[in-house]
Amino acid sequence: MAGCDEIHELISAYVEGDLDAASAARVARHVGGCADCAELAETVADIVAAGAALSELEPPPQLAADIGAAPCRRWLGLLYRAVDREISDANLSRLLTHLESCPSCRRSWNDLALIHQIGDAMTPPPGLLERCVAIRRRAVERRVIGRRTATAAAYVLAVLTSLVIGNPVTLARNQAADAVQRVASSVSQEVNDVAADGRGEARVVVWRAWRFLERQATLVRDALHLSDSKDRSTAPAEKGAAHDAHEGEPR
Amino acid sequence: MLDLEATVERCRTGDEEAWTALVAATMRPLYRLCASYSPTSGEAEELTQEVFFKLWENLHRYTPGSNFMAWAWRVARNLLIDAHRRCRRERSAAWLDSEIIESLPAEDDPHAEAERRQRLRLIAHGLRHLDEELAELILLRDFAGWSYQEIAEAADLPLGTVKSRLNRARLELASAVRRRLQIRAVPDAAVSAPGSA
Repeated sequence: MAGCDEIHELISAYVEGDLDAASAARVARHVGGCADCAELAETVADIVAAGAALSELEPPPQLAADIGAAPCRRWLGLLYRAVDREISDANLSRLLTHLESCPSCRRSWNDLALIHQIGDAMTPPPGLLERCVAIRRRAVERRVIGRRTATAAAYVLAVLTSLVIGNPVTLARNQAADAVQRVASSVSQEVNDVAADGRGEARVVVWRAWRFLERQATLVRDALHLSDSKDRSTAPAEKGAAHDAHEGEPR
Repeated sequence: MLDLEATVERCRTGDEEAWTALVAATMRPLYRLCASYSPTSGEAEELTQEVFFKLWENLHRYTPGSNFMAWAWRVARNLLIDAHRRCRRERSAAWLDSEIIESLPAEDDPHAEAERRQRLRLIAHGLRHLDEELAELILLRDFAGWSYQEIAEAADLPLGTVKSRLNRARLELASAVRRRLQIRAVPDAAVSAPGSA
Protein backbone atom coordinates (compact mmCIF):
# COMPACT_ATOMS: atom_id res chain seq x y z
CA MET A 1 0.00 0.00 0.00
CA ALA A 2 1.23 3.52 -0.87
CA GLY A 3 2.43 5.77 1.97
CA CYS A 4 0.54 8.90 3.08
CA ASP A 5 3.24 11.28 1.78
CA GLU A 6 3.00 9.76 -1.70
CA ILE A 7 -0.78 10.10 -1.64
CA HIS A 8 -0.52 13.74 -0.52
CA GLU A 9 1.49 14.48 -3.67
CA LEU A 10 -1.32 13.10 -5.81
CA ILE A 11 -4.32 14.34 -3.90
CA SER A 12 -5.08 17.45 -6.03
CA ALA A 13 -4.89 15.56 -9.29
CA TYR A 14 -7.00 12.77 -7.76
CA VAL A 15 -9.75 15.17 -6.68
CA GLU A 16 -9.75 16.88 -10.08
CA GLY A 17 -9.85 13.51 -11.92
CA ASP A 18 -6.52 14.29 -13.55
CA LEU A 19 -4.79 10.95 -12.76
CA ASP A 20 -4.42 7.91 -14.99
CA ALA A 21 -6.57 4.92 -14.07
CA ALA A 22 -3.84 2.96 -12.27
CA SER A 23 -2.76 5.92 -10.09
CA ALA A 24 -6.35 6.85 -9.34
CA ALA A 25 -7.06 3.27 -8.21
CA ARG A 26 -3.97 3.33 -5.98
CA VAL A 27 -5.06 6.58 -4.31
CA ALA A 28 -8.62 5.26 -3.92
CA ARG A 29 -7.37 2.11 -2.21
CA HIS A 30 -5.24 4.13 0.19
CA VAL A 31 -7.98 6.61 0.97
CA GLY A 32 -10.36 3.69 1.61
CA GLY A 33 -8.12 2.42 4.39
CA CYS A 34 -6.68 5.68 5.80
CA ALA A 35 -9.10 7.95 7.66
CA ASP A 36 -6.63 10.85 7.76
CA CYS A 37 -6.03 10.87 3.99
CA ALA A 38 -9.74 10.34 3.35
CA GLU A 39 -10.55 13.43 5.39
CA LEU A 40 -7.83 15.40 3.61
CA ALA A 41 -9.16 14.38 0.18
CA GLU A 42 -12.64 15.40 1.25
CA THR A 43 -11.45 18.85 2.38
CA VAL A 44 -9.49 19.41 -0.85
CA ALA A 45 -12.65 18.47 -2.74
CA ASP A 46 -14.50 21.07 -0.64
CA ILE A 47 -11.97 23.73 -1.68
CA VAL A 48 -12.40 22.89 -5.36
CA ALA A 49 -16.19 22.91 -4.95
CA ALA A 50 -16.05 26.24 -3.13
CA GLY A 51 -14.27 27.71 -6.14
CA ALA A 52 -16.92 26.27 -8.42
CA ALA A 53 -19.54 28.06 -6.32
CA LEU A 54 -17.91 31.36 -7.26
CA SER A 55 -18.56 30.65 -10.92
CA GLU A 56 -22.16 31.64 -10.13
CA LEU A 57 -20.98 35.11 -9.17
CA GLU A 58 -22.33 37.60 -11.66
CA PRO A 59 -20.98 41.12 -12.16
CA PRO A 60 -23.46 43.90 -11.39
CA PRO A 61 -25.55 44.59 -14.51
CA GLN A 62 -24.49 48.23 -14.87
CA LEU A 63 -20.75 47.59 -14.52
CA ALA A 64 -20.00 46.82 -18.18
CA ALA A 65 -21.99 49.89 -19.21
CA ASP A 66 -20.08 52.05 -16.69
CA ILE A 67 -16.75 50.90 -18.08
CA GLY A 68 -17.81 51.15 -21.71
CA ALA A 69 -19.51 54.52 -21.33
CA ALA A 70 -17.95 57.94 -20.91
CA PRO A 71 -14.81 57.30 -22.95
CA CYS A 72 -13.56 60.81 -22.15
CA ARG A 73 -13.09 59.71 -18.54
CA ARG A 74 -10.57 57.17 -19.78
CA TRP A 75 -8.82 59.67 -22.05
CA LEU A 76 -8.60 62.14 -19.17
CA GLY A 77 -6.26 59.71 -17.40
CA LEU A 78 -3.95 59.83 -20.40
CA LEU A 79 -4.31 63.62 -20.59
CA TYR A 80 -3.00 63.97 -17.05
CA ARG A 81 -0.06 61.75 -17.89
CA ALA A 82 0.65 63.68 -21.05
CA VAL A 83 0.67 66.99 -19.16
CA ASP A 84 2.97 65.49 -16.54
CA ARG A 85 5.15 64.14 -19.39
CA GLU A 86 4.81 60.61 -18.11
CA ILE A 87 3.04 59.16 -21.13
CA SER A 88 4.49 56.53 -23.43
CA ASP A 89 5.01 57.37 -27.12
CA ALA A 90 2.38 54.85 -28.18
CA ASN A 91 -0.25 56.32 -25.84
CA LEU A 92 0.68 59.87 -26.82
CA SER A 93 0.08 58.93 -30.43
CA ARG A 94 -3.33 57.43 -29.49
CA LEU A 95 -4.17 60.51 -27.48
CA LEU A 96 -3.30 62.93 -30.26
CA THR A 97 -5.45 60.97 -32.70
CA HIS A 98 -8.32 61.11 -30.23
CA LEU A 99 -7.88 64.83 -29.60
CA GLU A 100 -8.37 65.52 -33.29
CA SER A 101 -11.86 64.04 -33.14
CA CYS A 102 -13.01 64.99 -29.61
CA PRO A 103 -13.68 68.68 -28.87
CA SER A 104 -14.41 67.96 -25.19
CA CYS A 105 -11.02 66.32 -24.60
CA ARG A 106 -9.35 69.06 -26.66
CA ARG A 107 -10.79 71.68 -24.29
CA SER A 108 -9.56 69.69 -21.27
CA TRP A 109 -6.15 69.41 -22.92
CA ASN A 110 -6.00 73.18 -23.49
CA ASP A 111 -6.98 73.87 -19.87
CA LEU A 112 -4.46 71.42 -18.47
CA ALA A 113 -1.73 72.63 -20.80
CA LEU A 114 -2.42 76.24 -19.77
CA ILE A 115 -2.16 75.38 -16.09
CA HIS A 116 1.09 73.63 -16.82
CA GLN A 117 2.44 76.62 -18.77
CA ILE A 118 1.56 78.95 -15.90
CA GLY A 119 3.31 76.58 -13.53
CA ASP A 120 6.40 76.55 -15.76
CA ALA A 121 6.39 80.36 -15.99
CA MET A 122 6.37 80.71 -12.22
CA THR A 123 10.05 79.97 -11.78
CA PRO A 124 11.67 81.48 -8.68
CA PRO A 125 14.00 84.46 -9.22
CA PRO A 126 17.73 83.74 -9.11
CA GLY A 127 19.20 83.72 -5.63
CA LEU A 128 15.86 83.07 -3.85
CA LEU A 129 16.78 79.51 -3.00
CA GLU A 130 20.05 80.57 -1.34
CA ARG A 131 18.26 83.32 0.60
CA CYS A 132 15.64 80.86 1.88
CA VAL A 133 18.34 78.45 2.98
CA ALA A 134 20.16 81.26 4.77
CA ILE A 135 16.97 82.36 6.60
CA ARG A 136 16.41 78.86 7.86
CA ARG A 137 20.01 78.60 9.01
CA ARG A 138 19.77 81.92 10.93
CA ALA A 139 16.51 80.83 12.54
CA VAL A 140 18.09 77.59 13.73
CA GLU A 141 21.11 79.42 15.14
CA ARG A 142 18.97 82.01 16.98
CA ARG A 143 16.59 79.61 18.62
CA VAL A 144 18.07 79.09 22.09
CA ILE A 145 14.82 78.47 23.91
CA GLY A 146 11.85 76.98 22.14
CA ARG A 147 8.19 77.69 22.79
CA ARG A 148 7.70 74.32 24.44
CA THR A 149 10.62 74.87 26.78
CA ALA A 150 9.24 78.29 27.65
CA THR A 151 5.79 76.84 28.36
CA ALA A 152 7.34 74.23 30.64
CA ALA A 153 9.29 76.99 32.37
CA ALA A 154 6.05 78.94 32.86
CA TYR A 155 4.48 75.95 34.60
CA VAL A 156 7.53 75.52 36.84
CA LEU A 157 7.44 79.19 37.74
CA ALA A 158 3.73 79.02 38.49
CA VAL A 159 4.35 76.13 40.89
CA LEU A 160 7.23 77.98 42.53
CA THR A 161 5.05 81.06 42.87
CA SER A 162 2.33 79.17 44.65
CA LEU A 163 4.92 77.55 46.97
CA VAL A 164 6.43 80.89 47.88
CA ILE A 165 3.30 82.93 48.41
CA GLY A 166 1.04 80.20 49.76
CA ASN A 167 -2.23 78.71 48.63
CA PRO A 168 -3.97 81.05 46.16
CA VAL A 169 -7.42 80.00 47.37
CA THR A 170 -6.65 80.97 50.94
CA LEU A 171 -5.11 84.21 49.77
CA ALA A 172 -8.13 85.04 47.71
CA ARG A 173 -10.30 84.51 50.74
CA ASN A 174 -8.08 86.97 52.50
CA GLN A 175 -8.73 89.62 49.88
CA ALA A 176 -5.25 89.17 48.37
CA ALA A 177 -6.56 87.56 45.18
CA ASP A 178 -5.82 90.61 43.12
CA ALA A 179 -2.22 90.63 44.20
CA VAL A 180 -1.79 86.94 43.35
CA GLN A 181 -3.37 87.35 39.97
CA ARG A 182 -1.08 90.28 39.25
CA VAL A 183 1.91 88.12 40.15
CA ALA A 184 0.75 85.19 38.05
CA SER A 185 -0.08 87.26 35.01
CA SER A 186 3.13 89.25 35.25
CA VAL A 187 5.25 86.09 35.45
CA SER A 188 3.30 84.48 32.67
CA GLN A 189 3.64 87.59 30.50
CA GLU A 190 7.33 87.75 31.15
CA VAL A 191 7.85 84.13 30.10
CA ASN A 192 5.59 84.49 27.08
CA ASP A 193 7.53 87.53 25.94
CA VAL A 194 10.75 85.63 26.15
CA ALA A 195 9.25 82.65 24.28
CA ALA A 196 7.69 84.84 21.60
CA ASP A 197 10.77 86.75 20.56
CA GLY A 198 12.97 83.68 20.92
CA ARG A 199 15.87 85.69 22.30
CA GLY A 200 17.84 85.20 25.46
CA GLU A 201 19.33 82.14 26.91
CA ALA A 202 17.83 79.77 29.42
CA ARG A 203 19.93 80.96 32.31
CA VAL A 204 18.99 84.62 31.63
CA VAL A 205 15.32 83.68 31.66
CA VAL A 206 15.64 81.80 34.92
CA TRP A 207 17.67 84.56 36.54
CA ARG A 208 15.25 87.27 35.46
CA ALA A 209 12.29 85.15 36.52
CA TRP A 210 13.74 84.61 39.96
CA ARG A 211 14.47 88.29 40.39
CA PHE A 212 10.98 89.16 39.29
CA LEU A 213 9.50 86.47 41.49
CA GLU A 214 11.31 87.76 44.53
CA ARG A 215 10.04 91.27 43.93
CA GLN A 216 6.48 90.10 43.41
CA ALA A 217 6.62 87.82 46.46
CA THR A 218 7.71 90.76 48.57
CA LEU A 219 4.82 92.79 47.23
CA VAL A 220 2.39 89.99 48.03
CA ARG A 221 3.76 89.56 51.53
CA ASP A 222 3.39 93.27 52.10
CA ALA A 223 -0.13 93.17 50.75
CA LEU A 224 -1.00 90.25 53.00
CA HIS A 225 0.52 91.92 56.01
CA LEU A 226 -1.43 95.05 55.26
CA SER A 227 -4.60 93.08 54.76
CA ASP A 228 -4.15 91.12 58.00
CA SER A 229 -3.53 94.32 59.97
CA LYS A 230 -6.63 95.89 58.45
CA ASP A 231 -8.67 92.77 59.25
CA ARG A 232 -7.53 92.75 62.83
CA SER A 233 -8.35 96.43 63.27
CA THR A 234 -11.81 96.15 61.69
CA ALA A 235 -12.73 92.63 62.83
CA PRO A 236 -14.67 93.40 66.03
CA ALA A 237 -16.78 96.02 64.29
CA GLU A 238 -17.47 93.96 61.18
CA LYS A 239 -17.95 90.55 62.77
CA GLY A 240 -21.62 90.99 63.51
CA ALA A 241 -22.38 92.67 60.19
CA ALA A 242 -20.57 89.93 58.25
CA HIS A 243 -22.49 87.27 60.12
CA ASP A 244 -25.77 88.99 59.27
CA ALA A 245 -24.76 89.32 55.62
CA HIS A 246 -23.95 85.60 55.34
CA GLU A 247 -27.26 84.73 56.88
CA GLY A 248 -29.03 86.74 54.18
CA GLU A 249 -27.10 85.27 51.19
CA PRO A 250 -28.87 82.82 48.93
CA ARG A 251 -27.32 79.31 48.90
CA MET B 1 -18.59 34.20 -31.08
CA LEU B 2 -16.42 37.29 -30.65
CA ASP B 3 -12.94 37.17 -32.17
CA LEU B 4 -11.00 38.50 -29.21
CA GLU B 5 -7.78 39.10 -31.14
CA ALA B 6 -9.49 41.12 -33.85
CA THR B 7 -11.42 43.08 -31.23
CA VAL B 8 -8.24 43.95 -29.34
CA GLU B 9 -6.67 45.05 -32.60
CA ARG B 10 -9.63 47.32 -33.33
CA CYS B 11 -9.44 48.72 -29.81
CA ARG B 12 -5.86 49.70 -30.43
CA THR B 13 -6.93 51.88 -33.31
CA GLY B 14 -9.33 53.75 -30.99
CA ASP B 15 -12.53 51.99 -31.99
CA GLU B 16 -14.93 52.66 -29.08
CA GLU B 17 -17.42 50.02 -30.19
CA ALA B 18 -14.67 47.42 -30.15
CA TRP B 19 -13.78 48.46 -26.60
CA THR B 20 -17.40 48.04 -25.49
CA ALA B 21 -17.44 44.57 -27.09
CA LEU B 22 -14.15 43.62 -25.42
CA VAL B 23 -15.43 44.74 -22.01
CA ALA B 24 -18.62 42.73 -22.47
CA ALA B 25 -16.68 39.60 -23.52
CA THR B 26 -14.14 39.67 -20.67
CA MET B 27 -16.22 41.24 -17.89
CA ARG B 28 -17.37 38.02 -16.24
CA PRO B 29 -13.99 36.29 -15.78
CA LEU B 30 -12.27 39.53 -14.83
CA TYR B 31 -14.99 40.45 -12.30
CA ARG B 32 -14.73 36.97 -10.83
CA LEU B 33 -10.97 37.43 -10.55
CA CYS B 34 -11.36 40.85 -8.88
CA ALA B 35 -14.03 39.51 -6.53
CA SER B 36 -11.57 36.84 -5.40
CA TYR B 37 -9.17 39.57 -4.32
CA SER B 38 -11.72 41.99 -2.79
CA PRO B 39 -13.41 42.00 0.60
CA THR B 40 -16.73 43.48 -0.57
CA SER B 41 -18.73 43.50 -3.78
CA GLY B 42 -18.40 47.31 -3.89
CA GLU B 43 -14.63 47.07 -3.86
CA ALA B 44 -14.71 44.26 -6.41
CA GLU B 45 -16.62 46.62 -8.68
CA GLU B 46 -14.14 49.45 -8.19
CA LEU B 47 -11.21 47.13 -8.72
CA THR B 48 -12.75 45.81 -11.94
CA GLN B 49 -13.03 49.36 -13.26
CA GLU B 50 -9.41 50.07 -12.36
CA VAL B 51 -8.30 46.85 -14.01
CA PHE B 52 -10.13 47.69 -17.23
CA PHE B 53 -8.61 51.16 -17.31
CA LYS B 54 -5.17 49.66 -16.85
CA LEU B 55 -5.83 47.20 -19.67
CA TRP B 56 -7.08 49.93 -21.97
CA GLU B 57 -4.02 52.03 -21.20
CA ASN B 58 -1.66 49.16 -21.93
CA LEU B 59 -3.38 47.69 -24.97
CA HIS B 60 -0.49 48.72 -27.22
CA ARG B 61 1.80 46.38 -25.21
CA TYR B 62 -0.28 43.29 -25.89
CA THR B 63 1.33 40.84 -28.30
CA PRO B 64 -1.31 39.77 -30.82
CA GLY B 65 -1.93 36.04 -30.74
CA SER B 66 -0.85 35.54 -27.12
CA ASN B 67 -3.29 34.61 -24.36
CA PHE B 68 -5.33 37.76 -23.64
CA MET B 69 -6.54 36.70 -20.18
CA ALA B 70 -3.05 35.70 -19.07
CA TRP B 71 -1.76 39.05 -20.30
CA ALA B 72 -4.63 40.84 -18.55
CA TRP B 73 -3.78 39.13 -15.28
CA ARG B 74 -0.11 40.10 -15.58
CA VAL B 75 -1.05 43.73 -16.29
CA ALA B 76 -3.56 43.84 -13.45
CA ARG B 77 -1.59 41.75 -10.98
CA ASN B 78 -0.06 44.68 -9.08
CA LEU B 79 -3.47 46.30 -8.71
CA LEU B 80 -4.92 43.03 -7.43
CA ILE B 81 -2.10 42.41 -4.99
CA ASP B 82 -2.21 46.02 -3.76
CA ALA B 83 -5.96 45.73 -3.19
CA HIS B 84 -5.48 42.54 -1.26
CA ARG B 85 -2.69 43.97 0.92
CA ARG B 86 -4.65 47.16 1.60
CA CYS B 87 -7.66 45.16 2.76
CA ARG B 88 -5.56 42.88 4.89
CA ARG B 89 -3.77 45.83 6.51
CA GLU B 90 -6.80 48.02 7.05
CA ARG B 91 -9.44 45.55 8.09
CA SER B 92 -7.67 42.24 8.61
CA ALA B 93 -10.03 40.83 6.05
CA ALA B 94 -9.55 39.87 2.44
CA TRP B 95 -9.96 37.03 0.01
CA LEU B 96 -13.52 35.98 -0.50
CA ASP B 97 -15.12 37.92 2.31
CA SER B 98 -18.52 37.09 3.76
CA GLU B 99 -20.26 39.80 1.73
CA ILE B 100 -19.20 38.08 -1.52
CA ILE B 101 -20.23 34.70 -0.12
CA GLU B 102 -23.64 36.06 0.88
CA SER B 103 -24.18 37.49 -2.59
CA LEU B 104 -23.95 34.05 -4.22
CA PRO B 105 -27.26 32.57 -5.39
CA ALA B 106 -28.76 30.31 -2.72
CA GLU B 107 -29.38 26.58 -3.12
CA ASP B 108 -32.92 25.19 -2.82
CA ASP B 109 -32.17 23.03 0.22
CA PRO B 110 -31.65 25.39 3.20
CA HIS B 111 -29.56 22.82 5.08
CA ALA B 112 -27.26 22.24 2.11
CA GLU B 113 -27.08 26.00 1.60
CA ALA B 114 -26.08 26.62 5.22
CA GLU B 115 -23.42 23.93 4.97
CA ARG B 116 -22.04 25.34 1.74
CA ARG B 117 -21.76 28.85 3.17
CA GLN B 118 -20.15 27.53 6.31
CA ARG B 119 -17.61 25.67 4.16
CA LEU B 120 -16.89 28.79 2.12
CA ARG B 121 -16.40 30.85 5.29
CA LEU B 122 -13.92 28.33 6.67
CA ILE B 123 -12.01 28.28 3.39
CA ALA B 124 -12.02 32.09 3.23
CA HIS B 125 -10.66 32.22 6.76
CA GLY B 126 -7.97 29.67 5.89
CA LEU B 127 -6.99 31.64 2.78
CA ARG B 128 -6.30 34.73 4.86
CA HIS B 129 -3.58 32.90 6.71
CA LEU B 130 -2.08 31.14 3.72
CA ASP B 131 1.14 32.34 2.13
CA GLU B 132 0.30 35.01 -0.46
CA GLU B 133 1.74 33.21 -3.49
CA LEU B 134 0.06 29.94 -2.60
CA ALA B 135 -3.27 31.66 -1.95
CA GLU B 136 -2.99 33.32 -5.35
CA LEU B 137 -2.74 29.94 -7.10
CA ILE B 138 -5.95 28.79 -5.41
CA LEU B 139 -7.69 32.01 -6.40
CA LEU B 140 -6.68 31.67 -10.02
CA ARG B 141 -7.37 27.96 -10.38
CA ASP B 142 -10.30 27.30 -8.07
CA PHE B 143 -12.03 30.67 -7.80
CA ALA B 144 -11.28 32.39 -11.11
CA GLY B 145 -11.50 29.05 -12.94
CA TRP B 146 -8.25 29.27 -14.90
CA SER B 147 -6.65 26.22 -16.46
CA TYR B 148 -3.21 25.06 -15.36
CA GLN B 149 -1.90 26.11 -18.74
CA GLU B 150 -3.25 29.65 -18.35
CA ILE B 151 -1.69 29.98 -14.89
CA ALA B 152 1.62 28.66 -16.18
CA GLU B 153 1.60 31.19 -19.02
CA ALA B 154 0.57 34.09 -16.82
CA ALA B 155 2.99 33.31 -14.00
CA ASP B 156 5.71 32.27 -16.42
CA LEU B 157 6.21 28.95 -14.64
CA PRO B 158 6.55 25.40 -15.98
CA LEU B 159 3.28 23.46 -15.97
CA GLY B 160 4.64 20.85 -13.54
CA THR B 161 5.67 23.56 -11.08
CA VAL B 162 2.19 25.08 -11.18
CA LYS B 163 0.63 21.69 -10.47
CA SER B 164 2.92 20.81 -7.60
CA ARG B 165 2.61 24.28 -6.02
CA LEU B 166 -1.15 24.24 -6.32
CA ASN B 167 -1.23 20.82 -4.69
CA ARG B 168 0.85 22.21 -1.82
CA ALA B 169 -1.44 25.22 -1.55
CA ARG B 170 -4.54 23.05 -1.34
CA LEU B 171 -2.97 20.73 1.23
CA GLU B 172 -2.02 23.68 3.44
CA LEU B 173 -5.45 25.21 3.10
CA ALA B 174 -7.12 21.86 3.79
CA SER B 175 -5.02 21.48 6.96
CA ALA B 176 -6.01 24.98 8.08
CA VAL B 177 -9.70 24.23 7.47
CA ARG B 178 -9.49 20.93 9.36
CA ARG B 179 -7.76 22.59 12.31
CA ARG B 180 -10.54 25.15 12.43
CA LEU B 181 -13.18 22.44 12.28
CA GLN B 182 -11.51 20.61 15.15
CA ILE B 183 -11.46 23.79 17.26
CA ARG B 184 -15.18 24.18 16.65
CA ALA B 185 -15.87 20.50 17.31
CA VAL B 186 -14.33 20.60 20.79
CA PRO B 187 -16.88 23.01 22.40
CA ASP B 188 -19.70 21.13 20.66
CA ALA B 189 -18.48 17.86 22.20
CA ALA B 190 -18.19 19.52 25.59
CA VAL B 191 -21.78 20.74 25.39
CA SER B 192 -23.19 17.40 24.26
CA ALA B 193 -21.22 15.33 26.82
CA PRO B 194 -23.38 15.99 29.92
CA GLY B 195 -26.59 15.19 28.07
CA SER B 196 -25.27 11.91 26.74
CA ALA B 197 -23.99 10.76 30.14
